[in-house]
This record gives sequence, structure tokens and C-alpha cells, in this order.
Amino acid sequence: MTSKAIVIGGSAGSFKVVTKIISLLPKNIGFPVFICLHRLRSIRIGFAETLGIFSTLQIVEPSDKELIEPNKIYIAPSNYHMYILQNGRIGLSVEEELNHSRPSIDMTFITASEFFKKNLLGIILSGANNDGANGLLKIKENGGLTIAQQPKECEVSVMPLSCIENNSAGKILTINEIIKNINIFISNNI
Amino acid sequence: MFEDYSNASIDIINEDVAQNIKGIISKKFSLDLTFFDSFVFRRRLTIALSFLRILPENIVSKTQKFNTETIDILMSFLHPCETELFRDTDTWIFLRDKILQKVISSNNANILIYNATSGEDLYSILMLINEYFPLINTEITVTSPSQYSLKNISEGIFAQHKNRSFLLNYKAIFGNKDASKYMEINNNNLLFKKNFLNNVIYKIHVPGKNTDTDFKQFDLVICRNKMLPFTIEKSEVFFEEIITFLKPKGYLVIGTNENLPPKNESAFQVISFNKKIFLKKTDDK
Repeated sequence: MTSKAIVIGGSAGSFKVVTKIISLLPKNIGFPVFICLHRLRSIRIGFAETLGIFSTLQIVEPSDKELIEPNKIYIAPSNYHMYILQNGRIGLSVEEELNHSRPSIDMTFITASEFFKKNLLGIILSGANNDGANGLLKIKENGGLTIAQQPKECEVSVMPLSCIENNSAGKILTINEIIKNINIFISNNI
Repeated sequence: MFEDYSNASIDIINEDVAQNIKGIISKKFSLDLTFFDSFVFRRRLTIALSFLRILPENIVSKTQKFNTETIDILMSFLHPCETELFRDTDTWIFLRDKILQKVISSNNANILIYNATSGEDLYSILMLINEYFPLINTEITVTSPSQYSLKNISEGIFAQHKNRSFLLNYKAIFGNKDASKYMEINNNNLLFKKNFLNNVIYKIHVPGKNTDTDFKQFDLVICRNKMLPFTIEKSEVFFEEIITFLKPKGYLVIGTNENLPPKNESAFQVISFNKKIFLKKTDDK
């Protein structure tokens, strides 16, 4: 089983940033990446395929109870919460929206932090509500690394500002700086 | 604080307390709750106890007792609801265009909504049948582990009020047809009209415990996202039961991001992988 992971959350204005990040991830990254983006429910099919254009890593919209594997990017499916089970699988749920969102970034971040503990890098990007702030705080409390995108650089700054406000963002960085930190996280042996 | 639990984001009941409560409930009511995934169980339990206005510490300290009514409501909350009418519209369009015609060709179609805790899938199929196959004699059975759920479903109450998504979904299915003939407003709540629910059969049924010898075989079983909180091993048991409920060449619909457990796959032919619609093979094994 993989020992570390990256989780990325975003909403309005984050799609371009996500494509830039995943386009620069190496093919043999050695661990999984989880991405939870707020997205339209009416567009269920084709999102992962679209993102796949930008990455050499395999991009998957997981099925419930799918085994987590390294070198894959898991995208939270439309209209499902995505969370990390303690047996190393991905769980989905159709519970109530959290922060008016399903998928909820908090759900993914909190469960990822319960599984990966300090070996987790959490990143919050541009977005229009405070979903993810509690999750990023949980990652920080469990010893993981936390980054919020520089609000001045965001198309919509509410999401990273919420993380700054609740003191969950260990670093506040521009996209280029976030990419540098990801590369350091990748090269660090855990 | 009850209010703190209502959002149930980060302040969910911790693992030790959840396990303690699980043990108390399991012992007193002979319920097997071991197969609920931990995180989902904790979050569902948090929301359920908030609704019941029961403090978890009072259960642990045994100052708060459960009765059969609260357990019934708890079961309703622990199982997944259906979130919205015509969720995954492409699945419903496929059912309308490709499947229902075959299902009702016998002129006496039997449909099962399995393990329901809310009525959205029932209401959706009822609207489809009423609009496109109004003259066909269709019998729909709804099973649920909770009397509380069945009561809400039979009264047309929605689990989650998603009027906006409902209208978008409704238009995708029916175009500009008037939705108001199916809905009414009562005390500011949107309800599915009861006159469409007159012929529905409601049955208490705990998944995996088929003690009802009168359970007929069905042409179509709708079981979407009902296995999400359960372990793969438990899902296998439940699908074994569903296989016995289905007629040969009966159809099964599951959630778009669910898969059949490997053990149960051989009983089915895939009709649409994207929409997760399967046909029971004539030979079960």
C-alpha cells in the first residue's frame, strides 16, 4: 500500500490551475493523487477524460470500494462524496451535501488525513465557498503539509481565504510555488 | 450541542464512541451493524442522533435508552437515501427508451425498489410509467428496513429538497410537460401527490434477511447506491438475495459509480456499463 498522497480541492476558477498541476506531475509519481472539485451534476461523463488530456498519469473517476493504487489521479465523481476508507479503498456516498457541495472537499480531506496522517499534502485552490477549510485544518492537525493558493492570484478567493482565516494553511503560495512544493514532496522519501 | 452535530463535517462522533453505541444497539436489538463502514457510520450516526436530539455521551453512560421507535429512525438515517428525483437522468432516459418497454411487455410488470429510505426513485419510476405506459398494469413494491422511511415515502415526502435539480432533471426527461400534476405544496414543503402512490406495496425488509415467503419475483429491481455503506462481503450477500428476487431475464439497476461484487457478476449480463443496468441470466449460476 502507498505511504503518502496529495489531495487537491477547488471550485470556481480552479480547473485551469488543476490542469497545470497535473500536467507537470511525473508519470511514476509513486503515490496516488486525489482531486475533489465542485462540478456540474448534469455533466457526469467525460470529465476525467478531459483532464486526462493534460496528464501522463492515469485519471480515474473511481467506483465505490475501488482499491487505491499509486500513479493514479482519482477525481471525485459528480454528485458523490469521495472518501478514503481505512482498508485502503475509496468509498463513495450520497449523503447530504456538506457546505452545499457533493462532492465535498471536507469529506475527502478529512478521511484522507485519517488514513495518511502526516504523509499527506493538502492543497486548496480557487473557489467560491468555504468547503475544504475544515478538511485542511484536519490535515494540519494530523501533521500533514497544507497549502492554500495565493488569494490575489485566484479567480475566486473565498476558499483559500477561509483556510487562511481558520489558520489551516501552512503556506500561502502562487501556482508556480505550489508546483515547486509538490516536487519537493514527491522527492522526499517517507 | 445538537447544533454542532447538524453540519456533521468535522465534529462527528469519534470512533470509540461510535463503536460503543454500535455495540449497545447490536446487543439490545440483535442488529448486525458491523458491516457499516466506519466513517460513514459515524457521520450518519451523528446526523441521526442530532435529529433525535440524543446526546451520544448519554448513550455511552447508559442514561439514554433506545426504544424500538428510535432504532427504526436510526436505521432510516444509517441507510443511504436517493438525494433527488431522476438522479442521473441519462439512466432514466435509457430506462424509458430501452428497458421499460421490455419490462412491461407481459402486461403485468412487477418492479421492486430495494432498501429504500426515501421515495425519489419510486416517484421517478411512477412518473415515467404514468407518462409513457399509463395503460399497463404495473405493481411496484418498496422495501425498507425502516417503518419511518416507509411512512415518509408513502406520504410523498422527499428526503432532500432539491427542487432546482428536480426541475432540471424533469425537463431532461419530459421536456416542457407540466410537473405540477405530480407535486403539491403543503406547509411550504414540496410533496409527491398521494394519488399516484395508491397502488404501491410497502414492506419492511432488512437486507439479507428474506423471511417473507410471499416475496414474488420481479421484472425490474432498482437498487441504486444502496450498497455504498456496506463492505464488499456484505454487498455480496445482499446481491445474492436480489438475484433470488429477480425473474430470469429481469433487469437490475445500481448506482452509476457502483459495481457488482465479483462473486455476483456471473449471474448477470451487462446491458449498459455506464448506466449500470444488468440483465439476470436465465441460469442463475
